[in-house]
Amino acid sequence: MNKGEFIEARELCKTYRAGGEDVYALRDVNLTVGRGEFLSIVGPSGCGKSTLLYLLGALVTPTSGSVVIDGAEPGNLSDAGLSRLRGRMTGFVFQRFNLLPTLTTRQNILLSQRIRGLRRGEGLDADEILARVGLGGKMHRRPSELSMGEQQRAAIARAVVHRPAILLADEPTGNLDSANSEMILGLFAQMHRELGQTILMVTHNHDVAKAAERTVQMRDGKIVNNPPSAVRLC
Amino acid sequence: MSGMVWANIRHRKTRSLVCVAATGIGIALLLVLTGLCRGMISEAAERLKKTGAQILVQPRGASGLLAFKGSSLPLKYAPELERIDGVAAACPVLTWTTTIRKVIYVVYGVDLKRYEAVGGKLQLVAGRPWDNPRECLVDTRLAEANGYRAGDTISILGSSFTIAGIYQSGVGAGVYLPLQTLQSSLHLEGMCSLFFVRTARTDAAAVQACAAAIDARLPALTAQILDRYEEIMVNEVTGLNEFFGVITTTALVISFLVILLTMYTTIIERTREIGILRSLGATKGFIVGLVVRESVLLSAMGVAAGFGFTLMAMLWLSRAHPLLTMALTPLAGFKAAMLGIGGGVLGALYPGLRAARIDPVEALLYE
Repeated sequence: MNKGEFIEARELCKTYRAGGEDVYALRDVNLTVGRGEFLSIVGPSGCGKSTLLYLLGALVTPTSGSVVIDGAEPGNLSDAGLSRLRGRMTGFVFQRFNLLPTLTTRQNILLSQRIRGLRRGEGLDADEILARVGLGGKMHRRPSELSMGEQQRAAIARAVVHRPAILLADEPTGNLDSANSEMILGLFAQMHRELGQTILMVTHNHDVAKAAERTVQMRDGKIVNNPPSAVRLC
Repeated sequence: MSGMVWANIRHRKTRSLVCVAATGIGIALLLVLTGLCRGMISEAAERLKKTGAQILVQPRGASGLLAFKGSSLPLKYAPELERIDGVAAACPVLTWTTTIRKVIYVVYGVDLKRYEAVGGKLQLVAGRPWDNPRECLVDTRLAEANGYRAGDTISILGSSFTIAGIYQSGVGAGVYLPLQTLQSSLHLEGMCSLFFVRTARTDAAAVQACAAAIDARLPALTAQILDRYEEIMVNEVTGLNEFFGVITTTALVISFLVILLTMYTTIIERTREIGILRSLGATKGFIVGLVVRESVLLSAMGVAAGFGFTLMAMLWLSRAHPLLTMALTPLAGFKAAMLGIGGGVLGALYPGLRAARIDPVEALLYE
């Protein structure tokens, strides 16, 4: 991997079984993401962009081809190794927020720290990060007691509390109105600026995609437009 | 993680309550049934020990409770027993059972003087010893349960007897009749069921030696040491240990199935949550641990509920059926707790492993 290349996908394929046949979700995808880059992946529903995001975040393994994240190849890792990689390197933000409904906002953050095995002083302080996303006064509320925008802010706080190198967001504004969408994109920009994270954001909305430094376009499981990275890769 | 376990249990209150109640019923079933069996046996053994005798002599091959009724020995063995080294006194006892107001009582036919000679002095709390063949003695439990007082008439084996006295319960039988009266009622003149033997020395070695001497001298009889009577009954009464085994297994299976079903449905319902945890970096071990911890907590609560149900059952039994005795020991409670929690852990393993195998992305897409 060249200097600056942080995530690299090579000849990436992913198939799923459907109706007894293999269906391609991704076909021969090549992509390089630089360290600290804010990249958006845009395309219509079903084009494979979420699958690509999950592959780049080591949440699934490819059918063929490989992903390399900071020199590590998830396909060669054991389940424990994969969990460690996910826990240390990545933070996910989902369209449906995916906060645990039985826990309060603060408990969601603390559980994330616990699962990732953070010791005292490692990562960000849970109360501080909740204050930074504007939820300082609502940290003891359960997700069902928060608005959608607040839930997504809590999800972002959970995703960055361990200071991951990569923040992956799957349609993070898909369920939000325009005001909340702007707020969330503003938070991403702030996290990117202050924490220097590599951000990969999937969206079908071209306006949302403009928040990123670079936009990759996908259609039918393939990348159809892959402009050069603004980050120096070599 | 324990905060999450508690939160899950609190969040699904109805299912948690049903799970705890069902496990509790299994534990209570185990404790009450085995407690009643043990209680009845312990009480019988304790009653025998309190006669003051050290050795019980029966026909060879007889064992446990069944041998008490119907076995017949000639009274002529009494002087033969008293001639054996180490035997201080031998008292013949004819035993039978009678039903009074639907409750079965053991009846001893004895010669009171010979009975007292082996140490079986009855502590009278009312009345006096009998002085004619149509009188009897009853214990305080029988008297209290039926409202009898000294001087009342009682029907035993189809004949009427006057209650001459009431003695403190816990010794020998519930009813005592003159030996000859019981013999003639049963057409067993000159016969008895067993002999109580008091040894000259009461240390364990001397009692053991005396029992061995009886066995050697009178091969048609067998001598059992009363200190070991409870153990002998549990081991020799046909099917008792098997019965305990069945009850224990049933409790274990109930606990296992309840937890299995609860955790399995929980896992299905929480598939998406498991996907979230996996996306946060949770290992398979973490997921299994989470499921097992939750089931251990539910099982522990079920065990606590089981103890509560058992106490309630004991309270009810003591009021509704005062003659039933339940024996609950800390060891029995500990074993029941271990069974309940062990069953819970076993029941959680399959759902836990299944949860750990869930694909994170499929789980996240689960509706």
